[in-house]
Amino acid sequence: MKKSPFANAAINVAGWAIGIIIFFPILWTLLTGFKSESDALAIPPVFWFVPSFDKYIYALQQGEYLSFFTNTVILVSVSVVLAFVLGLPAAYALAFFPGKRANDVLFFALSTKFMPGVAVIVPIYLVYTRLGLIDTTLGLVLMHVALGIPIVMWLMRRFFSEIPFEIIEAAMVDGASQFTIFLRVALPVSIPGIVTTAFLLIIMGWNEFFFAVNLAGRSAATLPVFMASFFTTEGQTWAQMSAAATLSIVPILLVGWVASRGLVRGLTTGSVQ
Amino acid sequence: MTVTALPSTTTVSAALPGRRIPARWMTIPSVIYLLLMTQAPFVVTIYLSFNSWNLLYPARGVRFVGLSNYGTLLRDGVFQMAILNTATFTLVSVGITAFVGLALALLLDRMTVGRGFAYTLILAPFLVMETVAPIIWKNMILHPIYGLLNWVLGLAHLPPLDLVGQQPALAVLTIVAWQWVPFMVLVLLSGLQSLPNSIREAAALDGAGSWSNLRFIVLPHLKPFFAVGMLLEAILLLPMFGPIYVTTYGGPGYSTENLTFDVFRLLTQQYDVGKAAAGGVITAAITIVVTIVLLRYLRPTIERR
Repeated sequence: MKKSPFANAAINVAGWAIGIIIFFPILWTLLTGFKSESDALAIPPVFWFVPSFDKYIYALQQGEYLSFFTNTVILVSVSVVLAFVLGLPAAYALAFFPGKRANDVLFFALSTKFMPGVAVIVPIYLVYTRLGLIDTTLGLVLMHVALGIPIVMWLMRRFFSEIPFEIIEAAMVDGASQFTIFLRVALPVSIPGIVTTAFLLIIMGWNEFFFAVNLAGRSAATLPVFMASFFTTEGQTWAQMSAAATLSIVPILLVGWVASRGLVRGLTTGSVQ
Repeated sequence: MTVTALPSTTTVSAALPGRRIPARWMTIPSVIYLLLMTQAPFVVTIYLSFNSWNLLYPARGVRFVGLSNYGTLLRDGVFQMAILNTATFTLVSVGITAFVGLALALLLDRMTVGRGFAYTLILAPFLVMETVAPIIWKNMILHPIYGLLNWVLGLAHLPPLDLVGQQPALAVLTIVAWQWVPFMVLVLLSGLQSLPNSIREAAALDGAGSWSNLRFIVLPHLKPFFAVGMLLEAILLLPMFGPIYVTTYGGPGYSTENLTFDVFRLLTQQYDVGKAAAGGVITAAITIVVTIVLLRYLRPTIERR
């Protein structure tokens, strides 16, 4: 369509402006983390100031941030790996050897994703208390694996389906067992899909709040639980809070930005093969 | 949906040695795991909902009370308000994000320079954890004294606004919309970019103005994308928790509690296992009904692609 250069420029400028406005709260938080506490509260707001790394260094060295960060990293990495260990074979079987029940299994898995957390939290809370799993990373891992499996099954089934069935068939003719084919043939060619799925699981696990706050409120608490503890607006140290908030969201912003490209790339390479 | 393209392989696998270890068994560990962690607890929740059990009064023990937990909850004004709030929060946020999302997706779609840059910035709020978004908003932006909003309003000689204090539900909705508009943009932009330019150009040649182009070509094409986006968003926002927990903690009073928050309070503050379980079952029932109704209504639109 032909548009006047003026209209084009106006559309582009409007797009950038809206992007910056929407992103501004995040940028402002990042900047506030570099301010002194008095500058953080100043009205009119201070736009030009000598940045200080104190708040970030404090959060990383003495503050509570680091222990919650460690909890979150352990929780996310272990539960993502376990969700793959359980979910990948299922996705493989559903992609290549669906059987009569394949749709039932897929929709069963999906339905567990749509179940609100409050529909299961009461017995899980009681059983965890009885078994000593309350406020442990292990307890949260067990729950997060259940949240991850349906995603692995749905996404990876699609990625596996893009592998020509002839490759699997040839390996079967050679006498390879299903497990060998899965491990040696299907997995290696599905790395882009696995990476994309892993990014999604990491983002969701990192940000998950409901189960984290109900099942691990203190020593095993994750970053979302830690950040929620800033909920009172009275007597806050905003610069400190902003530094912790920035450090909590930046890792996942980076993962998300990489993943948004990776998702497109993963899908296109899959279809070219 | 996507389930149709399964290869039919039964004959091949029956004739081959690989048949000895049926691949179908590979689904069993994950199915058992999901049964154990989600279905079983749900069944136990239903069982618990028929009992009176408060952890604060262990001497009273566990008593079967039939439907009385349900009766108490459904007659309780706070719980009724939680149902109403759940509906309001879900419907309004889905509505706002669909509307704003469409406007932004149309704008991004027409950008010629720096679209990736704008897209990256717009995507960001969706990645922010649901407890940090309200922390940022209620402090740095909406705070009545130190917030940026009132500073800007003051510059424009407008009266100051205390959104969290005066209109707490609106504050929650603002924050949720900020987080979920990117999701709609993502879905609708992928829809717009799957519409071949040639169709729009042909329509323009036939004399269609940009309004009728939007009305008769772009919007009908976007319908299934709207359907998928709104369905997912409704199901994901119905049990919304973090924004309420951090912005208002259900208050003032209980005025901004939704179902999830009400059950959370029954369990972790009143230790009322029976009532919390009944609340959980009611929430699940509402979610299931909403999902089925939406699917039935939206499925023809989704499958028409």
